[in-house]
Amino acid sequence: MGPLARFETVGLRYGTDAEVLRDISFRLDRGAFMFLVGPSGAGKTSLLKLLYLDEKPTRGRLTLFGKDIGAASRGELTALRRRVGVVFQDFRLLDHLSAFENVALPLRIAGVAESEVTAHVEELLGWVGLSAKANVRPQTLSGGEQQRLAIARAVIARPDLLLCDEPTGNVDPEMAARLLHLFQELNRLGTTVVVATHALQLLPRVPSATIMRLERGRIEDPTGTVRYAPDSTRAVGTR
Amino acid sequence: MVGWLPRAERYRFLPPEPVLRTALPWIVALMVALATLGVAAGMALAMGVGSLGMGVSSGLTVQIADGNPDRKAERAARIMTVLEASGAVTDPRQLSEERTNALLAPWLGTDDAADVLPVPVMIDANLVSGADVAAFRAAIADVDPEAIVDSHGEWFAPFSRLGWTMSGLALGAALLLLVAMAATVVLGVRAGLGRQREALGILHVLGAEDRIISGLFQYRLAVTTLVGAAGGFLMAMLVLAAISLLLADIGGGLLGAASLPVWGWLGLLIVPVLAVLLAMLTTRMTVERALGERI
Repeated sequence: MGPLARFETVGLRYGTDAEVLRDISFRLDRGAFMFLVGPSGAGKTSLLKLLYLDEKPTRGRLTLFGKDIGAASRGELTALRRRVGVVFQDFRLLDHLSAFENVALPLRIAGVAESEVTAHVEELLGWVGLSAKANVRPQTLSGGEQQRLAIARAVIARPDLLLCDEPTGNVDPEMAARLLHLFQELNRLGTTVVVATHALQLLPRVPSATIMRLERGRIEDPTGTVRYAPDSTRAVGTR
Repeated sequence: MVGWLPRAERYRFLPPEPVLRTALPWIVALMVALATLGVAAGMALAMGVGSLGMGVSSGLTVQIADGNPDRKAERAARIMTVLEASGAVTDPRQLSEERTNALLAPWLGTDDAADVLPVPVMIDANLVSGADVAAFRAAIADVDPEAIVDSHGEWFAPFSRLGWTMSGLALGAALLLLVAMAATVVLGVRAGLGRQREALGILHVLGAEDRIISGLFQYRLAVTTLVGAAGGFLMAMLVLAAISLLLADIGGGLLGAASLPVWGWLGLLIVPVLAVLLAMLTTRMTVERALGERI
């Protein structure tokens, strides 16, 4: 079984602007836990967009779930998107839907039977501590609650790949630790997890994680993915 | 209760939009009203021209003008004999002197015009279907070269052409109005896609297929167009009912013949139905094209 994602000298530009990602090459193994770090504007969100198929590389080759994205049909891309869960930096919850309905959305899009939807959503809302707020609209929830709701929506369909863009940005340290634990649990169950974050203090909490640093659209270590030792805050090697 | 709704609408994948909040149903109502009136005018003209044409096209009149009353009567009798024996016409009948006098009385102010003026003898007949007017005219000329054969169909033909042309133009205008409505729907759908851009982006990332999105828009536009088309059709029916009452007062002639039969009124229903179907088709094409611009 090959890697879950493979980037080969991938470049990305929006319109006619300069490239926001340049010569990105790395592989993301199935079951991996990866932190994506780097300063604002380094290209972390753009790289995630490639992974959740909101953009196609403008250069190079991206293979996801064994499929060359450049050659995939619209139908194939849609099927691949259903295997990816995304937690956006700004949550992107639908304000006209209740918390329950927001979490149920991926299952309902996939056409899952309503009895199954109800059971799964109720269970997951309990897991993220929002059972009591199932019927409220997202805009009435606190930032942390919205964050948890967004995470519940991202994982409800048991994605093979979970992408999180600054998932702990709006929560207190205790909640950040709990969320990270949740991601680790999902990872333990087989989900590949990529977390883009500024919060470097989180990195040692996942000793097995791969860490990749982006700087001005490039991977900082051009030879591959930078790996940090579990008990260190600096890069000690590459692979 | 809501089981028949598309899944995307049942679960409100996109924020609901009250039908009458946008200008679209009002524009559709106006377009459908005008298109219905256009189709009604086209159909009524076609029916009027058709029914009048059927009445007069087969008619013909032979005129025998002669200053000598005895010779005129003799020539008329000769032509009557030919007409009665001819297979090309049926029911030949000579207008009586009393009838001729009565017809001329409003202009001449006398009821014995035929006694004081050389009024021609008129013989009416009906041309059988498929009979050749030129051959018939030649046959009459053999008997009486000075007799004039007047085919009603020949003088009615320009009116008929005008009537059919106007009818075609009215139907064409109705069709153009529906095309204009479809263009308005395109703009409405694009505006809707713009308003829902954020939600559409989320649905896209969550793996919603294009057909789910286009189906949802198609359903919503169908409801919007249906409301507009029903309103517009009702408006047109009220106008047509008023015109029918006015025509009933006028009575016969082309206007009288131009009223619609029951099937004609029912046939007008095709306009709102066509408008809704056209809007749905246009919506699907617009949404799929817009979604196709994303990866």
